[in-house]
Amino acid sequence: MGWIISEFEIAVGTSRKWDAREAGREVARNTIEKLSNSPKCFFLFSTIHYEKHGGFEEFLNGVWDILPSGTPLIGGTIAGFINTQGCFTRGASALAISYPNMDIAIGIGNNTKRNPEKAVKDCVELINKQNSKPNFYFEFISGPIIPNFPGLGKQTVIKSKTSGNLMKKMIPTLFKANMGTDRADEFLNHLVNYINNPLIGAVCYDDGKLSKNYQFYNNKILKNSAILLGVSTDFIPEFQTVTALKERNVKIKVTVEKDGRTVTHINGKPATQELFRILNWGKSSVREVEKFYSQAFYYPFCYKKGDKIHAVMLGLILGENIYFANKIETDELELFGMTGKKIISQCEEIFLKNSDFIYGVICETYVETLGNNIYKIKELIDKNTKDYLLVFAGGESIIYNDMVPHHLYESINILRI
Amino acid sequence: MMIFILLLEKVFGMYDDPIATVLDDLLKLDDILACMVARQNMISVMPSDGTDSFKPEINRIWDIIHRAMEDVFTVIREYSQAGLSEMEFKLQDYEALFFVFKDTENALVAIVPALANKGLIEVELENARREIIEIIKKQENERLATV
Repeated sequence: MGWIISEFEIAVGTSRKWDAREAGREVARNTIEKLSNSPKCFFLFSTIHYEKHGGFEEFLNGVWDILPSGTPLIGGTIAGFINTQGCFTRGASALAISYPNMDIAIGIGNNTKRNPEKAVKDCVELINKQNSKPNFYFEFISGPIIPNFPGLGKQTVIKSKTSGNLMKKMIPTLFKANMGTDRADEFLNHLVNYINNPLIGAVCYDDGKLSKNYQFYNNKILKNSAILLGVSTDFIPEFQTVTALKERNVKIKVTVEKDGRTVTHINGKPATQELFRILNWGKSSVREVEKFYSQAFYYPFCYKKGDKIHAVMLGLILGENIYFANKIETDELELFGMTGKKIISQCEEIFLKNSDFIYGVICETYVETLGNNIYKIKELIDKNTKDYLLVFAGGESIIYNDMVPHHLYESINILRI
Repeated sequence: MMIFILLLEKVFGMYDDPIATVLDDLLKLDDILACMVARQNMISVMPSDGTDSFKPEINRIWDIIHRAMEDVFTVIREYSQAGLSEMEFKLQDYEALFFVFKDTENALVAIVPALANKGLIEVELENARREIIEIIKKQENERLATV
């Protein structure tokens, strides 16, 4: 592959093997064999399936059977990926970079749901200890876990007013147990107090069941963690974001509690009752536990932050209260929607430019919405991009140009070289 | 089209059929309860262990789903040439997804729970359809080479 930057090499590999160890070996082998020098860093992505087919420990053992010892490795579980080999919602993919004028520093923060601010400090402290001055960052953070409410079990919709109110009070305890929403928005908002360079981030995910997700760091399998990889080099890639969200012309006034997530009233009326009226949901039509999200994700309420549309996603229904997955930074929200047609038109915009390489993070709802039509996105990328890896994540973070932190949903964020 | 059907029928029942291997792979996904390559009045290729490899929960509803599938194949036969590429129906708590092989009466069929994350499953069904088409093409080329 011919690169504008001399000696810069980037390679993407894939494995579709079911056995965790074999898949680890294959994805490592067919990634690094495309490089002429040892990789400076190795990004590893996997769907959740290897947990039941040998386990992630074996998966990483397989990778390290092949990967040169000491190579910095980061990554995590995702819902799927697109690369030159195809579109997949089962398997593993990896990305390796080789470039002499590049230094890598990695920071790890644990218990991201319990204390995202501390996780940020831990990440930054570790990066600073490596005397690194990164000029851009990659971030991976643990995704949401459907909470297990005491006495009620795993729930997303608690219809009883009394139980809902009671469980609302349980939320801080659930965070302490590293359950519930990912708090990736808070992590990013804290992070901008320490960094002043572009970032592209992904929320780790499973297959839509929201029951588990993992982060990979060297030979470790982490839970509830954030990984920040800083790159110090002599070039800065181009960053870009688009969203397929479209206004539905429904605006609401929300009364939000101090936590920034719990909405007690919409338009001055009890929140759940008013939400159901607006969305035309009957109590019996609301899906429960993880099925709730395949319904709720199609009703993002949004607000504008700078020139970006920030979606706040329905997280839990707790009696008369609605708990949103991310913080609401305004008292007026607008209902948006997403169509397959808009997704394709946004992809036409973002993938139009000729590129040597694109790494991208796409919202998992895109693949839920498009299904096998996701191949239409691949066809668009193939037209103008030599090599690429796009991962389907549970949320997308980006910082660029104005350095405003944007933790987004229903978006495509890319890093282009 | 005829060659495609003949090839499918020729390999039907073969234990190490590569198409059966593709179906075996699909069945490893939790939400694929049953899958096969079929056309009207004929299941052309089953997974390696036949119906034994279907998830047990499908057994109680298999007969009625199978009957409903036959009616769908009438539509596929009618409209495949016109570009019909996918069909689906929901029956009780299950959904049958049909990925039609272009210009043929054959389809890759998968039965999934009605509330499964269908988008993710469809991607893998599409990959299976593409793989099966490649296998058929390869077998056809091999057949032509020996004529």
